[in-house]
Amino acid sequence: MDRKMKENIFRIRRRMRRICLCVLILLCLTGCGSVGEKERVLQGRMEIPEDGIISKDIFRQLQEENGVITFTGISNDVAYEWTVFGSDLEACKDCNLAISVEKKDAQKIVFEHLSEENYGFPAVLSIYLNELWNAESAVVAQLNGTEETAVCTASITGSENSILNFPVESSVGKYVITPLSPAYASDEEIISTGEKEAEASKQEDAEKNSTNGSSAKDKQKEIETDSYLSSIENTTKEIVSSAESTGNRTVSDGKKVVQDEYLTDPIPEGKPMPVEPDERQVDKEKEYTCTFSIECSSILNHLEDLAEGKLDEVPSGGTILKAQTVTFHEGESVYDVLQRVCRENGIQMEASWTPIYNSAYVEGIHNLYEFDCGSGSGWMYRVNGWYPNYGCSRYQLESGEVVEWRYTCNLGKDIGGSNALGN
Amino acid sequence: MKKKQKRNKRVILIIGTIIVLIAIIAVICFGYFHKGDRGFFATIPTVTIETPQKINKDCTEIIDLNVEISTLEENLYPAASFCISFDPSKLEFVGIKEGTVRITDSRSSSGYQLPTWSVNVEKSNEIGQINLMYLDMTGGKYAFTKEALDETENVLFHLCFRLRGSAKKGDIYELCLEDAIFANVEEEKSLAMTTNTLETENGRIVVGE
Repeated sequence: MDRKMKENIFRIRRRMRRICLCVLILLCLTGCGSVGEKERVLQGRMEIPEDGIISKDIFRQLQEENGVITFTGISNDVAYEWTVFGSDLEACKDCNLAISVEKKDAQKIVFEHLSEENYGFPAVLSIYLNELWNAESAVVAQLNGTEETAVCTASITGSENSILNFPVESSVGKYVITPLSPAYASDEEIISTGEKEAEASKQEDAEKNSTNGSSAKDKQKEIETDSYLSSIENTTKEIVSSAESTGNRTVSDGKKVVQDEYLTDPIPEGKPMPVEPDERQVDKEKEYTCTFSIECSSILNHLEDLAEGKLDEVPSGGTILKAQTVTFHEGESVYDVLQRVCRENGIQMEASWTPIYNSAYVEGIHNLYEFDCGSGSGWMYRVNGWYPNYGCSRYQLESGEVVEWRYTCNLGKDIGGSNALGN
Repeated sequence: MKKKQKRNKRVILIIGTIIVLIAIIAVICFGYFHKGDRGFFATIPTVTIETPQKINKDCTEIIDLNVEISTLEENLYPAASFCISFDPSKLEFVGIKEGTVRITDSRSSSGYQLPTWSVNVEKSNEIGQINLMYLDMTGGKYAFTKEALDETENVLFHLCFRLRGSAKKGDIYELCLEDAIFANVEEEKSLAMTTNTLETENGRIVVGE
């Protein structure tokens, strides 16, 4: 009897073991429990759960591993991502990363953090729109009732659908995002059509005859009444006001097909028309700022072409002047600012006047001259990502513009500026 | 005694069955919620641009970003192409470096070799778009295949960038996969972003202190 009982107990134990093994295998396959969670953290991408709460354990692990995680979520068909860096985390706590996205109209989205307290760490929020915003940046403003306070700008990328990227310091409240670009204005208001083209040419003539023609003022008024600018007036008071006060230059409608008297090819649509140096009036009482940098990193990729003795002039990273905010007066050109910036920073610069182009030609900066790095080398300038196809003395700056002086080794092809040279 | 033993057996059997059923339900639920409309255990291959650590604004070093593939289907892919957009005013594309994902090569002792990707660096910087391509002219001798993938990390290639002088603290540069294809000789077996048979995940470079 005892033996039989022992045998039975043994058999039962064996079956129990088998069942346990099966359950264990199944649990492993499903990836349940904390083991699965850890694996997902290491993958660097994680879905935000329905309640939005990401546990402090995950943040702690992220901090310990000094990793980078992208938390992905979706709200009203709009996908969003949080990029969190382990190095930014200090105290780890449960955080609600969910946001509610609401689309107001073609030019505005509103989102609200569902978290009731600040995360305590900075993060990057990316919002994937289901449409294309024809702008390079957008204003993110906090909503306090009807009042909007601009907090930061968001960069816009993507060729089919726009992706908004911006840093988030405060993770509570409601925010509105509006594209920041005149490109969003209606064609009627910004781009001249038909009759307006005639007006524009008249305006150019008027500008040539007088330094501050009335038609230029009309154009300015036109820009001021632009619906887009009006709509973001409250959120970007600072930005818009500076654009209003310096925005008295003409923008190309892209319809000209012939060169101007200074051999300048037609200016692309939406880009500023050149302003002749003798027609500009500098108002020293009005000060604005722009971002200015000088770099020659392209040389680092063409060191074999660099002239003898010039290697010492090339900074290790190729940056001669790091991007910095500089002040300028109303009516000043890119060349005026370059001269001043080089003088103030002790950077050697040499230029010569070229009457045929009615502009100064920058021959060398930081002792790096044209042809120093191949037959197609020299200095080019870019404003807001565009290489103007006219001289730097003819580019009248506006507040907030980003000016980059860059050295090319191959007629602009190596730095994305070949169009400026008509290639 | 026998009755008691029988009862015990039955209880154990019931408990075991319940546990197994719970586990099966868990598997089904997991499969349903995580794989969506692709079926329980089907995994859509995903191409991911890995976001690197924050980059110092004064960084002059080359920034290296892994472009990874999660898996492939049981086919030969003799061609692959990717289109990645970036901001050329803030980033300079320097080129690519070899990854770990290999292609088949019957002449090699290991049976595999690393693919040679074609990319025009100058043009990429000009248009702000990196167009990368691999093409096996034999139509299958040197193809991507699931068997060549590693279990842990599958880096197709590394994208190499350098910060432009205009980069500022707080800048975020999205590296957007605009298009991605692993082509099979039979079109319906190809993996493509446009047909939702290939998923993509963007990366971004964040400029810190």
